[in-house]
Amino acid sequence: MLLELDFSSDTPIYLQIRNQIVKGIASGELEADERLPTVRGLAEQSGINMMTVSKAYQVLKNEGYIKTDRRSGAIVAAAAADGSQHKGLGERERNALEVIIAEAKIQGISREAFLTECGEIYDKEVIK
Amino acid sequence: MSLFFWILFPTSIMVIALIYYVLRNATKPKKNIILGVTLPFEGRNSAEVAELCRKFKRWLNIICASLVIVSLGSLFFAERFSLILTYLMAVVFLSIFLPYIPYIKYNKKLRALKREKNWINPAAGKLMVDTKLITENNIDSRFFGFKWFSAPLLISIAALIYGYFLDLDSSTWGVLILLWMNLGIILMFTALSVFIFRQRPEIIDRDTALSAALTRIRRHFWNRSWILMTYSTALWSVAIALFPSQMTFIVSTFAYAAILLVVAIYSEMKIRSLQYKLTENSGSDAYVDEDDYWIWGLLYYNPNDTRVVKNERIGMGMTINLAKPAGKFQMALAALAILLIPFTCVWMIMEDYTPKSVSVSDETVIAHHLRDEYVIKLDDVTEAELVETLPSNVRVVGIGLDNSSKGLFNFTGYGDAETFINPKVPPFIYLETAEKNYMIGTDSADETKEIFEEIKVNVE
Repeated sequence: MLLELDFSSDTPIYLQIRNQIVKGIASGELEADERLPTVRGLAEQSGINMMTVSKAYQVLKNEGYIKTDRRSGAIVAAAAADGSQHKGLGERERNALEVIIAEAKIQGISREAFLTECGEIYDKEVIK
Repeated sequence: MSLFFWILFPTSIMVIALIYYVLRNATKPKKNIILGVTLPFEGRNSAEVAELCRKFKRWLNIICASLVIVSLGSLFFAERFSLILTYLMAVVFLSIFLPYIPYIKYNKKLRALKREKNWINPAAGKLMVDTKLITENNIDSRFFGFKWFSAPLLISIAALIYGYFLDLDSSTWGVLILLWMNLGIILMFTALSVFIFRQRPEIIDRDTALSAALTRIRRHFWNRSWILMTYSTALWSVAIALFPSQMTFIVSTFAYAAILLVVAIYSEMKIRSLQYKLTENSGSDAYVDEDDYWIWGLLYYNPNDTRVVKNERIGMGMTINLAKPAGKFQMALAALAILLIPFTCVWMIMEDYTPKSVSVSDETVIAHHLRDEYVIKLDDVTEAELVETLPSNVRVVGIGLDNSSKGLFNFTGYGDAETFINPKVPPFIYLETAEKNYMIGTDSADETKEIFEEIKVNVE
């Protein structure tokens, strides 16, 4: 998959990598057991600092999206890819959602409009 | 017309032709880029873009045709090396800069059109990384391996060893220096081949196969070029070592330079052609747009990129990241080298046309020209001869211009001699001392004869 990393964004690069890989898994672009570049490989080929890539992979591993192995690198966790990781929203996701909902309310977006928009985005991300 | 005219004039025409080809070729879309601007598929095929390209080509034609006509002015100096060189260097200088004026102008117009039409790619300015390309090794091009470079390396070493068995005279040392230099060049080519191979893959859009194919093509042509160039260098060493004469040097150097040029031009044209064909249908979905990092589409400036050296967007060349201190330094060096050219030409004209002065006083011969001076005590002179016709000679170290030969030359029948003459104005005075021999002369035949008479009296 194609990662698009914006150095001028407020979002740290490691988080951008993490978010896009998560989106890739959700959309099916990254499949179960699919190999990802090694930390060194991704760092060398993209020019991103190795520590930044390592941090992104560490976050993804901690969240259960990927598994890492010293020899074979990183692979997409089967549980993450097949949607069987149904544990409900974690605290971090709930907190993020609360902020987004708060901003939507401030802008005067109704509950129905917000849910409609969420549905459209959800359908765009999940194709299986 | 002198030989140098037939070397320099076609060279200047070739420079104009190359720049003309490269810039005109920039109007053909490759990797979604036209005139240094990345455009979406519908933009590349629009009438406005076509019109801008047409106007640019018109200006390019005018400028390059004018440069060719101006270069013909060198015919007036066809017999004078320093003047031809200065004139044609000036033409080359103009050729390097002038055609880029319309290029920059239309690059800016195209960027303005891109903004006006809102052809801005959402991914513009972002770093695109294809994880599949990196992971699955889809590039599938292999470094040719050091075994390809071992043969030319061994040949070059053999030529160098053979060179040490040559009869050692002043001209042989020049041969040995060249052989050492060639060995160094082969080692450098080998190292650079690895460096280039390790450059990042080319990512165009979401099509991993396309990105892999373009990366493969680039690496293939670079690999092939390096190997051809190392073999050419090795063969050049063999020619110089086996036949150490001035004629061999001239002919083999020409052949070597011609091979390098043909390899470079062919590879560049082929890659551009393939980039054009393979990316014809790109630009409809997400595609790489680095325009923000390319000043006028020509100079790469990206503080977020850790690399100092990067692939050019089009073709097979490399460029420097001006955001890096090392990049700025390299660019400054290159600019300095170019700016030194006019100074070198001025110096050469001064060397060629400033009159020489030779005088005898206090039993000393003083030969003076610009910053060079020879002082010869007549007491040291064991033999003096007036040489009516300049013997055939080889320059060992020094300057050999139309009106000025200075330095150490090897003359047939006389051996090595410190030289200070105008080769076009015989006769010449040959002096032998215990330490060195000299061949001196002035810009006037009568003056030279007078000085010889004075020297002869003192020597007798």
